[in-house]
Amino acid sequence: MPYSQEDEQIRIRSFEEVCVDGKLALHARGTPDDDARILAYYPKAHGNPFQDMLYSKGFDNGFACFPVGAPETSMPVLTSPLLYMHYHWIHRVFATANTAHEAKLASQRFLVAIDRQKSAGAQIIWTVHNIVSHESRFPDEEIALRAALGKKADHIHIMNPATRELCARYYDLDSHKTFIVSHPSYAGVYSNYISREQARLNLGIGAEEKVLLLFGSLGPRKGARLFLAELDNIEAIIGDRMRVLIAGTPGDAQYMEEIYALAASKPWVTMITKHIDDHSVQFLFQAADVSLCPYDIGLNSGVAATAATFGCVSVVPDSLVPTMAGAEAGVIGFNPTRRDTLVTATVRALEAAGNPDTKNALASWSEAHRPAAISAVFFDSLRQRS
Amino acid sequence: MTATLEQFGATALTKHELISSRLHFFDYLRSGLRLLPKRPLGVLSKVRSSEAPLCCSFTVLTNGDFAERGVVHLEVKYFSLLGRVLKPERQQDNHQLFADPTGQAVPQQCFFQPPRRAFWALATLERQTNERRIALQGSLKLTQYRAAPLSLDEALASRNGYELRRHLMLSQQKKDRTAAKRLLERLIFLAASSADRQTLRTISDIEAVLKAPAKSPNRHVETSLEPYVYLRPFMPAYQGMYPLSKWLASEAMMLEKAAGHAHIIVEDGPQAALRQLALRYAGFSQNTDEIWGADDVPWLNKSDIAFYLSKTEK
Repeated sequence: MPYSQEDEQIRIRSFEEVCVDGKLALHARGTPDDDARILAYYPKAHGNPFQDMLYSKGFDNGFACFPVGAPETSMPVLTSPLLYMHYHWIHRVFATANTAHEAKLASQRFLVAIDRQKSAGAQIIWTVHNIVSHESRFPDEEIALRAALGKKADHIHIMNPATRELCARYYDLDSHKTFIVSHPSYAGVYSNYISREQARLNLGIGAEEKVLLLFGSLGPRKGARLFLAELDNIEAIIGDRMRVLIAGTPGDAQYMEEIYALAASKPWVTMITKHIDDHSVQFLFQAADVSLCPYDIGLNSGVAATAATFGCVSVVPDSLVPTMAGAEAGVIGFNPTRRDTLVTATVRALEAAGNPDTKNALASWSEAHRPAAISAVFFDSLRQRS
Repeated sequence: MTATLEQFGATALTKHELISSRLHFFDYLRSGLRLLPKRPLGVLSKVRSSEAPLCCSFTVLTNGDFAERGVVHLEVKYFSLLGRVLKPERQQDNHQLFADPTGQAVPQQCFFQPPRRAFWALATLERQTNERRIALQGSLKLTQYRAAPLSLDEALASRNGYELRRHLMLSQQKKDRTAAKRLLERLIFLAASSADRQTLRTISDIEAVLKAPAKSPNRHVETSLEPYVYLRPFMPAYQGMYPLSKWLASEAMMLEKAAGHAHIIVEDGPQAALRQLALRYAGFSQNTDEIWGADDVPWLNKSDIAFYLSKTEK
């Protein structure tokens, strides 16, 4: 269903009405009423299928899942079914804040709403996607919010086994609350029927050329600036010209000006500064040899999971490598505090890309992490915990 | 933040001005720094000659604290004397203007080449952002461009597309790749047109071809007694519209197939320098030290070709 229609359907119904719809749908599905669960989530990520993937086996597991439009959703006191409120990218709480003070106030409102939701009987779930969001405008306020949410949440979903250790520098996560369910692959989600040759022809890339891809929204913490600065060093080591594809939604104007200025002198850097629709994703990953995630900071990467789905090697911060257990041959780490390691990791990744064993490892990981399988594990874990 | 532009002297268009601007006769932006309304503003000008480029100039200010591209869209439509819409001959009928923070603004000149028979030109400005307030000073009345030419360095520091392109044309005539690259980088940064990006790719590719020998010496066995005389290229003549390496790779492929096991001799004739390059690209040795028709190869001069041939000599 197109997002606009889905949004419309969410917007016109009250929270209570959607809960009732969910309950009835579960009943019609044959779920015993005592087993029925309602899971509301915020924020709905448009243009990122992660949530649809994670919840794809909801009904099979007795869960009716739907997004809510505001973090401060007030909930009716329901005795049945059991209600969960699942939070994802919580920096969106600051969406309308223009100053740190406004961010602090937004944070307070959000936490009060959580208390109300808990009083209404809802269990709070938080998926820790990042240590701090890539687009963080108020990092101090966001860290404080994360620390507070960590205390209030009943269940904390992590995808990286080292999440607690990596976040500990900024905020604590209670080990009794955390449960690990890996990031799904995108197998069966993105179209994948275009050949490498066709993808390269469409993008004007020769068969012999080495192609690096930076995929995803562009922002100061996503590393595009650093990568462009290091590109000459990578080319010097490889001894060949690189083709670079930078594809994703543009970030704030000031940052983009820097990127445009850096890319203007590099004619082999192609910038596609817009949202890449699901059908077009395959062209980029099929054409690429290596997908780069040169992030400053990171816990999980949907881009690395996407790359693995297409059999494309990725370069990620060291901290992300454990999230792709089993696919290490095709997931090369670098140390974000030592930028020269990005160069060596990229060179290693280009070597790995030519190895058939790498493709096999990535294909196995992708198959084992199909969204349906991961979704089933997620709901099973949740059931066991509550 | 909001008060900044007003403090800088910007005033909003009055209700009367907004209504009368719909007639396209009044050039209210001339009367000082004006806040740009949401609704597009247009002014009709008479085209005196379709030979000379038309231009207009604006200073655009934002209440943001950094320069931002594409916040104002300027478009020109042309009409015949009787009001029939005319298509511009080239895609030069619109510009995306930068907005500069207060105190850092530079005038931005925009150029338009009117089509023949154009009698009227309607220039329309439209604000593209709702996030920041935009103020603008200049004139929507199009005039013929008569400014003194800028030097290369002045052009590179400006946002003057006409002067940047004039220098680019000169550098193309002189086959000055260094200047052309600087000019193209500036043009790409300002407007990112596909044609400019392709030209920069082409020049960059030529430099890569010169830097690295394209192919190891060809080891094919010459068993045929009859030499193969390579008189004309198989490919259409290279015009510099795409990377030379692709042209050479394709030409070399066809040459190898056509020559079979014969010894190849290149002779003067159509696109001789390109054939010499292709022969060397395919890894064959030259039968002459002469270089013919170097002028035919875009962005390469005789010494570049000599350098390439010597660098890839067996």
